[in-house]
Amino acid sequence: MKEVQALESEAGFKVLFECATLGIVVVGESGNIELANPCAEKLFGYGAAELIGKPLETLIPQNLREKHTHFRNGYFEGPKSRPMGVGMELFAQRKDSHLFPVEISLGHYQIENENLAVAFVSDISIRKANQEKYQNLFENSLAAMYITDLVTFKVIEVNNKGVELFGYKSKQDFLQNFVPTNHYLNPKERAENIQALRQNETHQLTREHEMIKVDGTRFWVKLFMKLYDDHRYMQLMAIDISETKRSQQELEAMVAERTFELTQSLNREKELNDMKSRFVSMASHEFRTPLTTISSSAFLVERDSTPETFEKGKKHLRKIRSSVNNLIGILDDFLSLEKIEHGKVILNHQNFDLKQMALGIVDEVKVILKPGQHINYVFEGAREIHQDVSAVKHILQNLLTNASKYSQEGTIRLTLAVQGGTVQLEVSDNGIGIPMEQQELVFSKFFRARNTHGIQGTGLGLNIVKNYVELLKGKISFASKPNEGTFFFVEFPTHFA
Amino acid sequence: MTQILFIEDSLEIRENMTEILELGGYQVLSAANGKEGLSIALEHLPQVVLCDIQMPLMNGFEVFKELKANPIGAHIPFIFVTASTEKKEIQAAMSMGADGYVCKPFDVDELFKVLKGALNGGVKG
Repeated sequence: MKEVQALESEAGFKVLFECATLGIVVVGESGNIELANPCAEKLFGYGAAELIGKPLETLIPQNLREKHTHFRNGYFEGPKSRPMGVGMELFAQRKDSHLFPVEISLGHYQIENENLAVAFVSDISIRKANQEKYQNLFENSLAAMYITDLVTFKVIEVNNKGVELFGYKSKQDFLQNFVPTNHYLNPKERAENIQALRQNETHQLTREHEMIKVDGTRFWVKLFMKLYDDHRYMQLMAIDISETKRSQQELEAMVAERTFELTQSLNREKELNDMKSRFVSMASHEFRTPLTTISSSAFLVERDSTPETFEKGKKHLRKIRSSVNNLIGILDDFLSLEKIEHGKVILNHQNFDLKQMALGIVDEVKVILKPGQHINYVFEGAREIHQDVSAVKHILQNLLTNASKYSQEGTIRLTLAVQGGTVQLEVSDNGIGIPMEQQELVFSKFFRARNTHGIQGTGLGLNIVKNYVELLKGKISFASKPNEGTFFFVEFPTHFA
Repeated sequence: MTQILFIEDSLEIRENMTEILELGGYQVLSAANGKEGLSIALEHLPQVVLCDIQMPLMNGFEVFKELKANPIGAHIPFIFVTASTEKKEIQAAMSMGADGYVCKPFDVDELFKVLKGALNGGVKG
């Protein structure tokens, strides 16, 4: 029975020995290999039974063989089971002299009074390569990384970027001298972060803080924190965001400044607009009521007076009526301007007899001509055009009125020529003209030439004319010489396209 | 003699208009506000009504609507006299079916032209 058990146990050990994925090498006190399992033969690159009888040091790198012989002899003096070379990186040598990293455990037994040592060898090349890969990844990461022991409050791991971020000289310098709270601008923030990490469900936290380097420089970091191992350790990743923060702050300051400027100019604009709108609505309603009274009163007094008693009074009354007309003109100019500027002018295109229309305007203007002034009106070409009649009227009326207003006795020439789909309108006078150096301003709003003192006007007329000409898709130009006269030339299509 | 009702809250304009219309050979009734104007119109049934728009108590548009809604006064030609040059207001007046409008300050010849037009069957002013 005992024999059967012994046989079974021998067979079991044989299987273990043959099939183990661990290299097993048995050495006698002589230092020669007594046994090596197939895995060991494969690890070291030898054929079956090829290792038997060879000195163990065959498997040791050349430069360590002598040292190893010494260690081996020492082991046989007090053999016990233990891992070999604790804390050291062990290498073994293959038959082809290639070295590879190994992990080795030692054991021993006796057969027939002979001491035998067993070495269990595993090839750790793959594990070591992986370890190195991750170590490199950690060390050369673009983000600073730290692992802090939250029991001792010491940083136990830091990568290169982590050392550099706070301005330490080396990893050693960092691990010896780094005290987290010294680097927070507001040290309370750290305690708050750890508290928050412990309390929140994911035990993760992202924060932005202003921190201080070893040399006192301030900088902004974004911290990503995570607890692990039952809150024992904190993993922390930091990215310097000073540059982003700076441009963000600059941008915010710029936006604030711009917003302030915009608000101011918007308010100014709004004030102006309000003023203008108030003026327009005031002009429309408040001016027209008294004007109606003045106008109708003047009309009545003029009608009632008899030549004998009221001849003098009549003159004044005519003056009143003419002033009223002036006021109405100013008002109309302001209203036209308001409409043009707000795009409220609605053109109404229709067919009309240009020659006849102009004749009507000429007749109207004749009433206000100064003594000794007369209008010479010439018309050439087809009479019917298709345009906005009130815009054309306004242009004609204004240019003729100006010609009279800014000249003394003499002839005002009006020529209208319709030719090849174009209306050419010319108005000329021999009046005071426009000073050469001010000619480029003629169409500007509120412009009055230097030589117009004592002549009434708002400085809006020609601005409005120009706007109307443009609405008709036409062009306006002029030539003028002081004390010789002014010539205006307007051209617009006969048919509004 | 053709009778005209002029409704206007400004005393001066009311007096002047009355004189002008009388010079033109019309007989004139006048009212100082819309409410008074409406009752005079319905009582005297003038040949034409000249009416201001912006007035206290009842504005010109309301007078127009009430008059046109009344079978007795619906036929009376109606002219608005407005201090507004806003196209919107003038368009509103005309689209309601007014027979004409006169802008303040008015030209006397223009006024008579519009009046005659309204009396002859609604030529718009």
